[in-house]
Amino acid sequence: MGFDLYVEYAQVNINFVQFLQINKTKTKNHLFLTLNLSLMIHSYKRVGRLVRSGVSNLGFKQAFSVAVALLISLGAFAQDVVTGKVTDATDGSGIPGVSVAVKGTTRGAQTDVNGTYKVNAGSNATLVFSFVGYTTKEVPVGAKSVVNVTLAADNQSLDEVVVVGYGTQKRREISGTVTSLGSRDFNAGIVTNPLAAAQGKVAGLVITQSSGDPNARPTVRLRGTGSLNAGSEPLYVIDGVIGAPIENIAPEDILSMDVLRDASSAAIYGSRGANGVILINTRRGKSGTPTVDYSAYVGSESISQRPELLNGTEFRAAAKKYNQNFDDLGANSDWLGAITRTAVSQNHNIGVSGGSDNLSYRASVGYLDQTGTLIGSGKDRLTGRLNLDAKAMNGKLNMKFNMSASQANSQFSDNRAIGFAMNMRPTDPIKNADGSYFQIPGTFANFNPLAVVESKSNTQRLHDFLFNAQAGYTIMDGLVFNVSGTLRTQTRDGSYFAKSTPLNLLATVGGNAAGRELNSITDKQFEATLNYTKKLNDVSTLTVLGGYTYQDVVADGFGANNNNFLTDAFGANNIGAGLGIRANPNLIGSYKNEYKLVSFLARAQYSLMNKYFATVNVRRDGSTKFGDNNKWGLFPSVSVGWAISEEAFLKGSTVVDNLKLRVSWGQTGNSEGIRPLLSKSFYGASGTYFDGGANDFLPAYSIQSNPNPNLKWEINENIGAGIDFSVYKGKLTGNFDIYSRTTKDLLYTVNVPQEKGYVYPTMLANIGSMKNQGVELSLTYQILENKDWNIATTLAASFNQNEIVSLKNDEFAAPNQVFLSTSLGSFIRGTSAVNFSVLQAGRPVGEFYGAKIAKIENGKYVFQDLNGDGVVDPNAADRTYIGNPNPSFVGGLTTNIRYKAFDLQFQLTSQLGAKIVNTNMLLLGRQDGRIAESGALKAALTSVINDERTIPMDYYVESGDFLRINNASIGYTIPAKGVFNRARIYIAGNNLALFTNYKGVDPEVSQSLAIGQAAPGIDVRETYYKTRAITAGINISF
Amino acid sequence: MKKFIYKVLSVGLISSVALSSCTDLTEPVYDAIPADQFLKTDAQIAAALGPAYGGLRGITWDWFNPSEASSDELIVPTRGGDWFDGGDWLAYSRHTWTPQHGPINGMWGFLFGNISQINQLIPVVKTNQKAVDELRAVRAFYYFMACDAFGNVPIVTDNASAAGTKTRAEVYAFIKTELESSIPNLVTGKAYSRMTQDAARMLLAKVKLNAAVYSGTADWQGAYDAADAVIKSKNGYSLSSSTVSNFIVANEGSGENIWTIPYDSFKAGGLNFHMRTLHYANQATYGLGNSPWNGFCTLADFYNSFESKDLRQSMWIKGQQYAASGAALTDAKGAPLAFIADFNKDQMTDADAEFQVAGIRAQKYEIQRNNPNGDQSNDYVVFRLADAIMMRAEAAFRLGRTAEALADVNTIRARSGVNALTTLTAADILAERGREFAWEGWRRNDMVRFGTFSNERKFMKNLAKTRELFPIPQPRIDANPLLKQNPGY
Repeated sequence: MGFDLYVEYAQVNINFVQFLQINKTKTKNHLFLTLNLSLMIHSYKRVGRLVRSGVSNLGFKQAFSVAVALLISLGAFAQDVVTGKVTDATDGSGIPGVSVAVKGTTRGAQTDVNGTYKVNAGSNATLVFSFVGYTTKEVPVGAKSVVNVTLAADNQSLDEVVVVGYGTQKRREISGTVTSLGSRDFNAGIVTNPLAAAQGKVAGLVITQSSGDPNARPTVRLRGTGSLNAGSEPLYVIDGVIGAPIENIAPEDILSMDVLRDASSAAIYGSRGANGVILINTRRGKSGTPTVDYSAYVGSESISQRPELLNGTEFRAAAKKYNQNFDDLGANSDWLGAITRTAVSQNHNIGVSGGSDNLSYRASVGYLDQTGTLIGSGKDRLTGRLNLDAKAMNGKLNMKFNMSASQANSQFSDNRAIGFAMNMRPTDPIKNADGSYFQIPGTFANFNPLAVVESKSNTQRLHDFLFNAQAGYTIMDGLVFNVSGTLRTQTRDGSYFAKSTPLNLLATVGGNAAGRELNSITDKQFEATLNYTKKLNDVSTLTVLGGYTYQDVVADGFGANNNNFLTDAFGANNIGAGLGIRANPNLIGSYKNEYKLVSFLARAQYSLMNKYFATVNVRRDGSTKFGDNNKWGLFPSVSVGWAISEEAFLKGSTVVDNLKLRVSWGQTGNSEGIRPLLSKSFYGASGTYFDGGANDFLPAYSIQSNPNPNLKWEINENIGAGIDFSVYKGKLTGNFDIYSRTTKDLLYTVNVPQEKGYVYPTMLANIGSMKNQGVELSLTYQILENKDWNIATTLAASFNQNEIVSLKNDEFAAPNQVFLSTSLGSFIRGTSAVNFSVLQAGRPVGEFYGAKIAKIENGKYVFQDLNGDGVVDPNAADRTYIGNPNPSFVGGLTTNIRYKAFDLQFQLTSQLGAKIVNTNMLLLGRQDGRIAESGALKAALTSVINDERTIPMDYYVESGDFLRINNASIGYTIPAKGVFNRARIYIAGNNLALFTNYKGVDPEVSQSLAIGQAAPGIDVRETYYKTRAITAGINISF
Repeated sequence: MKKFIYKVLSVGLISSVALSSCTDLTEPVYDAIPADQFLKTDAQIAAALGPAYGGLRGITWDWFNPSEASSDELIVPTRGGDWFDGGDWLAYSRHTWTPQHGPINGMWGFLFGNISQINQLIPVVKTNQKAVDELRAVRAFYYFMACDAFGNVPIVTDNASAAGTKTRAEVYAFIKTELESSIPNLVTGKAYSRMTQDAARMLLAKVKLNAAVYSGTADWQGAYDAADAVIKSKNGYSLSSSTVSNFIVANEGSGENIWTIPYDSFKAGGLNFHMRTLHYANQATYGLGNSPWNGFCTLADFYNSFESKDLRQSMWIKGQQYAASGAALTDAKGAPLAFIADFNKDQMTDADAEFQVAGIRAQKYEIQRNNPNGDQSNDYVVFRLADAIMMRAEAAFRLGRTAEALADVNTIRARSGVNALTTLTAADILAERGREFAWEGWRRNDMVRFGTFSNERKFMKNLAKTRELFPIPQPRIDANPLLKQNPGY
């Protein structure tokens, strides 16, 4: 990080920073001179202006010294010439534009486009290599005439500009908890989603990818599960635009991600900041000769782990052993193998950037084609992005235009096929002799899974178009007025068809069926802010921000379904032709809703002596979704920072380079889970009633929601403290944070007492509270750094503890013990009330609850009499807490090794303390599983369990601890040649190895909590298996 | 400076324009109707009154299952893990349910959700006393079910009512009053599926027949009179040629049915008894679009209470099963698919040979052949003439008018081809009701009234009489502390 600086135009020192950035732009050799010359002139102009506008002397001095260095390098003459090359520690590429100064003199030079330099220096001289975004390095010349140097990117550069929402701040001045991630930090391999790119990189940001489906989104939790009903996903802000879909941004287009981890930073996002905010900034153009970046990879994915099922021989043995008769058709089918495949992916991204002094651009086009390992699934995506930056009125008016468009085509497969593949007996053939699908006639759950995946198509075309224009006008020194307007439209076009496959017993009504739907979202945003920076005196600066924002989101759509077509030939393309709609008029529908969010925001940042920093944020949000009694919410926060290392007693320390203490408090809101129309009572069409006059069933109207005038956001109150440190000249850097996060007014869909006159059975209400407490640690250790080697390793770790504090308020209460209905998978008979997870005050969210095994006797479970009443009742009284699905520790360890032009990077991720319910073992791992009716796990052959009771019990709760080699890459940077500025080839792998004692498929099980549908830590058998991927790729720029 | 002020002013102007137009937080509504803007036209009122009846369709699950699976005529055994469902079904047949029992909680929601809905509608139609009274009578039917299942429940007639528990006797008195005062205003003729005078009288007869259970004081004469009024109704109900003919797919033509709840395979789902009872492979027998669930069956003792010549035997599905093509069906293990009446475990594993074929299945409601849906179009029969006759017989018997009772019972028996009885005991009446109304949702009610509900029987060893009432579901008590738990829980 630091190498790619994101620059906010509102920043006062922008001109200087931009100047430096341009300097390091890798342009061709012959161009570089011209560029440097023009830049020099440019910089003189700017420096002049900067001096006039009273910007710090520091900036001037640096600018001046660089300029002088430039002059000298141009006019160099041979005398004790030292040459060498300055390369990047991460990838070994040459860094152009590095200032090479001879210590104690005015002499110096600057590296050329290849990173090489030439400077006049004697043997007793010391060379100082400095470049913004990199750690400065001093090297004594000695007897050497060639001095090669590697510079490491300064990950926590104090001058780094961090985007903090409605503005930027220097890293040094930040008193909240913000982690910045540059594109260089992204994970390698098949990474199609920015979230996957950041997995394991940010302490406290837990990204769980339980599925290998290209269309699946990872679960994201920042500082634990903060909500039950309102969603626990962070807010995504892309180039200042709130709520754009993150999954369809090509990671190649991203310059940086800033993660606002605490409420004091996120409070500026008010009622939507409760789960943290992830700010994404895409790459922008810089003035200069056009640069073209091309990156591409091809990859191959295969299933990394799958359940071990009995093969034909083992199945026969098991049936014999357990004395079960069955109709042996003599096959040895691998049903899971039949519905899965090795999948090939390819990804291309090309970006062009450049510009003149007043207009710069970056345009990019990306294409991703990813096949899924389950037949019938896949995704392809085309993305386009154009970012323009324009200056006018002598630099007083800065404008930005961000346009992006994407089209993502998703093919969804029916994941139930995975369950069917486990149900099918290996002794049954996949196809009959005549080529038709084999199917047991009349079955509850043994449906031919290949017929299921091959007979259905379910596709979705997602178009997303975003246009954003921003203008900043400098009214006077330090006073900038910004406006921003955004139009985002998204259409999701779904298409579904199921063939009338004979004997496909899952065929829907009328044999074949088709559906089409079109859903659109129109999102309009407007922002106006006024930013004033005033240097109060020599030692203190005050920055004040005030603003107004307005957002209006309209969602509407319609859908039509039909069935019973005379032919399969139409697919979903001639939906009127089916007969089904004649019998069932309920096959069409449409909807529309809208919400508006109006906000006023203010922020004051104060900096004293570069040592003491304070930030105060206030946001007032009003939403149409809130109840009449609570239309407006206020979200305040305050944070203070103390740069201890700037104090006299530490200043100049040879050990401590940087030490800063941060303390923060803030309140944010969570309102994303509130759908429109939940605060009032509405009538809507619902079901039918029989009308005697019409002698037919007509649409009935009934109350669809109970009035809740008190409905409002959840409040997330966050108190935390942290330190940032850097010791031994950046050898070891890191931060440590401790926090307590309390969600109050927790949104929960209560079952209202219907006998009290509530017509609709449920109501979204603010009840109860929940708490997350934890510590977060980031550490970077520079193990080795010399001209050939650079080895650095970074740990991002977090410990979190979750507890539900209460689930009631004065008026409403959830049941004292809420059993979360947890589907163990479709078509599993007899498990509808087998609920492992509970919500209860005083316990962590989704804790497992059930009976405890005393022993296994004659194959039967013997349960403990937990309450000691002499009666063993494992279904009710004799149950207790049997496992916490929430991990206590989540960490990622990323190591970067470079040797000359070779680079190696690998990342380990680990999760400890979470428990998992191994439902496959519970259902199919015991003797009586379903042999000989259905397939079973290999474990069934040796299992000691012969007990049909499928109830929640500790016997199947396992530790989910794991360590994974999440990704690794090895690359080689080809020396720049011809038109190429840079070329790197690499191979990378994802999910390379997994170390765990978990006996199920993969311990990274879904953490998603959807009351009534899913609970964390339940390993549902229909999980799309995770994949292992190997990719080969190339990045070139010219 | 002047220029600066101008700039600041222009910024301020832009801002204030934006602000004044954009702080309106009235919620835009497009696809729903604010509750206070609906019910303005007759058509709207008719559509809103619809759910008062439409809501009744929950009866096939929320009333039928607890009323049948806890009785001696229907059991849902665990079949090798299938139908275990956390022990909920076994809890019904073993009488071991607890206040946490999910489906019992579902029944509470069905009853009080619909009661609240009707309470909301009554003020809307308050100027039309006929409509009000019809709603009150429908509400009385929900209260009858609540009184029968839970006993001590709140009496809520509008949103201002306190939702505290009332005694079962108070609930009984309330239902009786509601019915007696609304009946004069109800439709006097036939109106399919509506709460007519005849339907409400049937309900009143049913309520009064159970007066001793509900209030401690019998009202046999009241029950007699109400049933008699229906039998003698000028709407001319008559017994159909056979009992099961009242349950055919197109049973809306039945001259015997007095009050039905209409269902439709496509437009009004919920009637799916065939799915619950048939074996998976019976899909091929009836050409069904979905594979049935192989669950509900009857118990041997109950099955054996039918004489072999009893025409009502046709409701049972027994023995070897065949595909529509005539091919003999097999179970999942390749064994012949032949349902057997007697079985020894209510919780069978795959190792128990009979786990898939245990129990005789029922087709009281004719199975709709070649139905692509899981739901059928037969209408659910709540009240029919045979019940009026049997209720009148029972009341007469309790009043000591045995000869009259015997004649009524024999009328019912004669239709099904079984010999007339010459003597009559209470047990005879219960047994006859069992055969006549098997799988119609009345068995628990009948057994409680005759005092046999808590008697020991196969798979049922819990003799606690407190089980005659279901517990108030714990989640409801958690949400409404005014509710009081029933004794014994």
